[in-house]
Amino acid sequence: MMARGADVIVVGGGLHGLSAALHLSLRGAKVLVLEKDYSGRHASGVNAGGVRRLGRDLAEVPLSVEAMKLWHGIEQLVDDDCGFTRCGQVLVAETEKELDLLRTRAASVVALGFDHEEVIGASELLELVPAIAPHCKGALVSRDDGAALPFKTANAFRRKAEALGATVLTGAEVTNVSHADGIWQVETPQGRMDAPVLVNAAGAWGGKIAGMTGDPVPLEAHAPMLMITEPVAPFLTPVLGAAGRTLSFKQFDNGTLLIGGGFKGYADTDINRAETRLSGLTESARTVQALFPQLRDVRIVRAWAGLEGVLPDMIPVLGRSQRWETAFHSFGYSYHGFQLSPITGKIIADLVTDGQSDLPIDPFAPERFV
Amino acid sequence: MTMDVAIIGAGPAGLSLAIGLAKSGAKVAIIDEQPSPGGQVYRAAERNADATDLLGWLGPDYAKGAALVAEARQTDGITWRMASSVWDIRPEEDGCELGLLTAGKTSVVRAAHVVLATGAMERPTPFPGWTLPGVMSIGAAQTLFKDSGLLPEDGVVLAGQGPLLYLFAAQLLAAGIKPQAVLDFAPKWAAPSNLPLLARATLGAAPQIAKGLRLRAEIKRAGIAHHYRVERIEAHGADALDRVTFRHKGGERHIETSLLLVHDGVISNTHASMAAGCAHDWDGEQAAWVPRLDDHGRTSRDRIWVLGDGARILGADAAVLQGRIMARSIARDLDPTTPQDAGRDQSDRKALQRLATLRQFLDRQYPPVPAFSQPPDETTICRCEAVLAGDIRALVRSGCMGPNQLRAFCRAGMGPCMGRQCGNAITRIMAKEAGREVSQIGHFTIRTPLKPVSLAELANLEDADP
Repeated sequence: MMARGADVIVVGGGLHGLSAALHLSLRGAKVLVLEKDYSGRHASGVNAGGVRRLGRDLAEVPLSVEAMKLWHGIEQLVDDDCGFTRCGQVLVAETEKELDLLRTRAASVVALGFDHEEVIGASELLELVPAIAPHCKGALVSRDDGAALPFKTANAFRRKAEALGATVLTGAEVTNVSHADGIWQVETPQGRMDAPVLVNAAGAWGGKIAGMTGDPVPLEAHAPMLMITEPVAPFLTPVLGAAGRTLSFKQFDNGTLLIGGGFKGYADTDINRAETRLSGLTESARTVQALFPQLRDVRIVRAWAGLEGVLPDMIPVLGRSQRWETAFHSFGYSYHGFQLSPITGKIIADLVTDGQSDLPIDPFAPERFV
Repeated sequence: MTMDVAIIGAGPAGLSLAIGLAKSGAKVAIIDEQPSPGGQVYRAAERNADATDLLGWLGPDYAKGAALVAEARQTDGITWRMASSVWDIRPEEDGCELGLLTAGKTSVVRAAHVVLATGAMERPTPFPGWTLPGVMSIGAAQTLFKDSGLLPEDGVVLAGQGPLLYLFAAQLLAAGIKPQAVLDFAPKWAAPSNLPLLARATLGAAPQIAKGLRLRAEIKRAGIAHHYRVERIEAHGADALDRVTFRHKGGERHIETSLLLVHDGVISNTHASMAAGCAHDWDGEQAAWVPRLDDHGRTSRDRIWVLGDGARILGADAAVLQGRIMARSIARDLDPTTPQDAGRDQSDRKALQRLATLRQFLDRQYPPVPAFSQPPDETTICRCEAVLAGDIRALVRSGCMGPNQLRAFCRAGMGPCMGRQCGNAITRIMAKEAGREVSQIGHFTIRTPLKPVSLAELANLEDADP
């Protein structure tokens, strides 16, 4: 059987892979995306949907700011609103000490030359979130941040990439990658695929693919958990986190509440399965109860976990392979890749077509673990 | 609380297993949502034990449930956790953790083995108008009957097919209620190709076959209009049901009624086994998902077992036999020095085989009603999220590959019931539209909690895993 060919093969049909495919297609490259399940099956489709610059690792802030500009015009990029709302993001301080830490944080973002994070006091917090427990002292806010619908977003990116000429093959798990005569040969159950350029955007499986291109990274698969409640009357506009707790909390238009924040379940990439863990769900429930005591009788209707790739320094691998000029990595977003996805594809497209990106991506180099 | 075995479901399967295990010395807990044991088939058997009228109407097969419940109650070593729902099943390395909810309090039960004896549920019967007030399932109507002696009024219309249709009609007649009509989707007699199986079933299970014929004779004797080979029905009414239309012998007919009770057989209730992450296969004969089990009832997940109708529909008598067999298997797992009882095992399995032949005949005589399996586009399928058959078909045509992807597209199966009610219907509609086997389409992934729990109930869970 003749191998199928393309200019670029992207391994992984999640958001980062689709974004790379989209941006590469915009520049006229013929892109083939290999997805072992279907687009949005794992982290891209089942995450909390936070579109957040707030509180990011400082190394990510410049990328996150650029990504935010794309989110504010997301319909122009993918012909779909992705369910994006500019509802704001709020990180609540429950003690004066936490509020001081948030002030220091805001100052360090300003020092980088950005002004999207600001500290507000207790009374302004009450205006923003009238239902918050009265002991809260203030918050760090980023007003133009927001939230979107992950599966809708993953689909929109897939459809737009396809409309631009990219091919997304589902059920095509990559079993081996080799390099011969300047061509990447990628084995899948649907046959061998060939291309001169390879992009690894395999999420929780990114470490496995990086191993095949000679870029070993200590990626771990985690299973962050989320819960959804029955609908309640609208009371919460921004997405809410807490400085001293593990929480991501928001209310959808249909009234249901999403409770997340990164408590871990059980992850097993070999059997493609993530499972919830009682202790983490209990801890999330306690956190919400502490901040919103009036919600005690609201019922949880489902909880789930998704498979996410996590690196020890909690920032992604994004850049060129240390070994090959023609291999690129974009994975390991460590619980917070959703917001970055519109820009990571552009960075990959810049690297592939121009050999460089004008954004500061050195901190994400794969060789940092060597 | 730490047990050797935790059994979820106190119907005939769970009770029989609990009795066998407790007698072998195992520490057994039996958990059920109902306030008293018996399951659906022997629902409220203890409370109704002296209700002579009700027992007479429900018949001798119901009455024998009281004896099974009494035997279990008198067996030492069974911990009863009635009125408790299991909202989380968590397989661990050395056993299994169950999250329980009892009267607003959450707790954790740990057990070396967990047995899911969660029984059957009615096959979903979507058809135009089925969500109107005044349309309900025969199973639900029978539950009201057993629980509180509540009966429909004269003029009720029964529709669908299968043994329960006949049984319920006869139970109503015994209680003095006269249904207006029985709209039977099945043919009156077995097809010639099914006769050899009928003969074998009759050899092994003559009383059951005779019972079926007797029930039909009772319907006829009471002068009830019993239409066979009905092709489709629709329920009509502005705010509530007032008229049923149906197609029969090539003509459109209608009946005025305010109550229509529908039934299309039962399928395994796999909600718990799916939530526990056990592998399932599509059973073509029963047109339902069933857990993948070995000869002893072990699932694909260590220390999780399934028996009774939750494993495959075989009925209450078979469930009792399976409980006895599994009690011996688990006793040997707990203590390998337990002596084998090959003789009993063999005779129980032989009896089980006779019932399996009867079931095979019934499955072929009453395959799912096509009108319910493939309802017209305007029919509601997912009631929680108001998703129509046409919505699902359109999404399949646009490339949606399976039920879990469908969820993300249209929220089907994401309401409070989590697809418990509509899952079987959705899978079959998707498969037909895609022109694929149901086994290739797959089923909903079932998430925890199996039953909704409140934030406070979850927050107050003291004994969560470390």
